[in-house]
Amino acid sequence: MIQWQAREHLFLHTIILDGLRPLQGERTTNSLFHILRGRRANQTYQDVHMYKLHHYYRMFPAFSRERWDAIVKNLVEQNFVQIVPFRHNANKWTFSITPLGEKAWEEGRGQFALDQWKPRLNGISYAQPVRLFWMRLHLMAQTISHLLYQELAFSPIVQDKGVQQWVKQQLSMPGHRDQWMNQLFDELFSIVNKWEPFLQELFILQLSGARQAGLTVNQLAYRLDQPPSLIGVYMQAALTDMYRQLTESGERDHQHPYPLLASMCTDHAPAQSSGGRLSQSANATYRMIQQGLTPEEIVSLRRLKLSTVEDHLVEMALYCPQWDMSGYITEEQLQRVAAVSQELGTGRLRLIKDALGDGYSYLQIRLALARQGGGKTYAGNRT
Amino acid sequence: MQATEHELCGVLERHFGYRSFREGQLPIISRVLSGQNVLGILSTGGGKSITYQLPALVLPGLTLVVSPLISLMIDQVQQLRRKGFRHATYLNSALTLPEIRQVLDEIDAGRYKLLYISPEKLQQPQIIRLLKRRGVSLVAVDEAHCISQWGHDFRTDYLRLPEIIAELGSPPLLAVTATATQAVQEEISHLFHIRTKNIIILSINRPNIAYDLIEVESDKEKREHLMDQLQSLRGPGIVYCSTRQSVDSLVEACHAAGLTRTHTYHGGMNAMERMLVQEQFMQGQLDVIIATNAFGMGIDKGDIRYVLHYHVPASIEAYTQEIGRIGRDGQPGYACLYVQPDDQLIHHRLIQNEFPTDEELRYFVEVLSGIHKGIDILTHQQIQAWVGVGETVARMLFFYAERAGLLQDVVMNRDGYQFRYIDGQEKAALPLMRTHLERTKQTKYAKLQDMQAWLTKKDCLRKTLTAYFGEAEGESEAKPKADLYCCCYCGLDQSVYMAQESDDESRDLPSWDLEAALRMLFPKR
Ligand SMILES: [Zn+2]
Repeated sequence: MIQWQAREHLFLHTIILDGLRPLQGERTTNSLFHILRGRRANQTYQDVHMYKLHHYYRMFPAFSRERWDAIVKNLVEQNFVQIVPFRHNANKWTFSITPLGEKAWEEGRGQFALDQWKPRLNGISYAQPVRLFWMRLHLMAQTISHLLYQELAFSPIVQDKGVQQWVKQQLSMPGHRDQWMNQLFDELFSIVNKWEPFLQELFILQLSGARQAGLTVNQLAYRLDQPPSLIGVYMQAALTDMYRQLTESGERDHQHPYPLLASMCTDHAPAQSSGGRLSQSANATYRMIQQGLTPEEIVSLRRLKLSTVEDHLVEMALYCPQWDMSGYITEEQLQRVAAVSQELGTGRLRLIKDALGDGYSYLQIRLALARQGGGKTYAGNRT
Repeated sequence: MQATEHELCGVLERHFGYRSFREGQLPIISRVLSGQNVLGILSTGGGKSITYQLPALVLPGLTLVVSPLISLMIDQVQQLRRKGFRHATYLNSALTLPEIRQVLDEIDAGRYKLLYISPEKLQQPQIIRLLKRRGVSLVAVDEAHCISQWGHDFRTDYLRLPEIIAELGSPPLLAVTATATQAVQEEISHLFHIRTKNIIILSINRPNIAYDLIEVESDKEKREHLMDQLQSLRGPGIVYCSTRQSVDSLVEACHAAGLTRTHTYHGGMNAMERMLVQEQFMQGQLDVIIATNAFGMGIDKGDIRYVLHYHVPASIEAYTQEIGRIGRDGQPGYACLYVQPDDQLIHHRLIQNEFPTDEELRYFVEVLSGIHKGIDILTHQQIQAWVGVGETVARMLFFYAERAGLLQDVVMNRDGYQFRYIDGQEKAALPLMRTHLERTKQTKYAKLQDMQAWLTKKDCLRKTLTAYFGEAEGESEAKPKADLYCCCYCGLDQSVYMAQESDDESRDLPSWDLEAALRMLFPKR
């Protein structure tokens, strides 16, 4: 038990050191906290793209501030991380990872096979849809199990009304109920059968049915003798793989190999012209910009602050590759910002602005950085 | 509306599957159906819910059930739907805005006969208008003791209920609670206009439960003793603690001791995990739940054999409610309370955290008076940043500000508060708020003291417990009856509650077989 806890600590230290490495000298440790929790803020989105931390976005959505602070404190006490002033501004603080910290990271990286599961995660693109997929699957499995055992009364494990509605709708379509009852076993068996046994166990034992209630993460951790957080990460990686397999095979083949499971991946985001990634407020701004309004007009129409509308523009640069930014920044300026950022090896606005000299606004720099980061991941996701 | 006993029994059997009414149910139901206001005091597990669910089936309009417990609402609606009663739903803050809109539309369309609603939702003018239009036949107020400022669980949003019920056209009212002292009964009856002859009290005594007390000197001693008990007692059982940390650390200790069929339950776990743990407990996959007081509401499990209290609860009422979950099947059960002098301090700290400090109170009033010009909205974040208090304390502050006349039309929603500020009231309101807050706080301390006093009586626990609720008075000191054993003072045989020679189920897990595991979930048709 004691050992189990120690390994949980070790695992979290490894993840956090790994996430902190690209941020050192550039940001505070807090940036990673927001990324791990999956904060919906422009600054966090930009950090994720700038420092290529897609896999960590929303990895621990329920992580508490107290727990985070305790871990950072511990990392500092162990002399893995040092709090240091910024190179260019001694009044502000950032951090660096000590050689000792680097060594701890190296060890943990091997022990927990970071390189094996990290590339399979992509929270910024998949955390939300995968979560919805999992809740639908969980509730559908529970419902079908009860139907097969002919026990029609049960308490749904998933309380989300939207998910409940979705399951109800699926089962009320003519012929669908039979299809689910007959084929869910086969689809799950054939897709999960290819996994390592321990992942199979992890996945199936979390499901609830008429004869068993699913296990909690802590119970699985105990049973499989792994740190609970690592269990969560494995599960996330497995589900992401599954989700991608289901959504990608659908486009190529006419006959989908897993039609039922694939149907759980549909209509995740409300259909929006921006692709559904923008916040609601940014989406409204997007539509108004498309209608030819200026930011200033939007400010007075919607009673927003100019800085808020500018945040929306940056969000659009990130998520709407089709948006024509030429009214705000020329192609030439865009290239220049990218080059300077590359050269300095930083995403810090202040440093980039100083290097660029006059003639560039903060907004322009933010737009350029966002478009650059967003474009890259956009291409990355399609491979 | 009049229905014969025979007709009501028919409804009971058809819809709820019971052959006959339990004690107290029939007098309550028949009074309610004849249009009178009634107060029913039924111990937990005494079939409280039937007293409003059955009238809901029979009455022409809508029956409202006001409840502060979201989990209980969800659970009861699910249980009803399982029984095939589809005309029940709930309205509370757990729903999203579109979901609320949908439920309101469906109410308007006349789809429901039974609506569970949280008190804060019932404050909203457009909901009141809708209910008025639809026609309410009965208002049932669950956990009615929450309206009493002398109660152990006073809830600010309950105080406005009488006013709202009048606005709904004063339909018949049924107040139900599991525990209420004489003073609380009087206050409830007064506020809801209930005549003395319509107060139906069922004995609080549970003859099949034996009461035990264990006094310990230190945390270490307590923990050792608890582990011994958990090893030997026959389950299933519940252990209640006052803090999440102790819940977590006790479960760790259990796992280390090989008691693996034990799980935590507290508000820090996510909703799905809590559901899983509850389901596992219901299905017999878990023997012991170690929990904060968040666990147990709406749990319909008859065979719970013991409840242990690792910390002394905040009030005798809370204690009675929690041990009331033992042995609802009528079989013998065991309640044990650990007493350690320091436990009081935990509650003092909890009460401190629950109330605003005087400084926070002053900040709050300052913020309101400083920003009110043109602004009548404060978000939760603003309150946190400017006043420095969390949502529970903020809620309390807004309530008392409205009561003191500083604000009007306070409405809370997901983002924050909306209100109307009344100019020139600051001077008078501040001391008034201070007094009201202080009084509520003192009530909580008084409840703690009652608990402490009960523990130091060193007399039959059953007799003193029922006496606390005012039952034994006038009954010539007669001791309430116990089935088997009474309490640690009258005599107790622990071995009755021990497990038989432990039928140690083989702990090694069978090797993993995907097909078998999936077939367990989805058997062949
Ligand atoms: Zn006794």
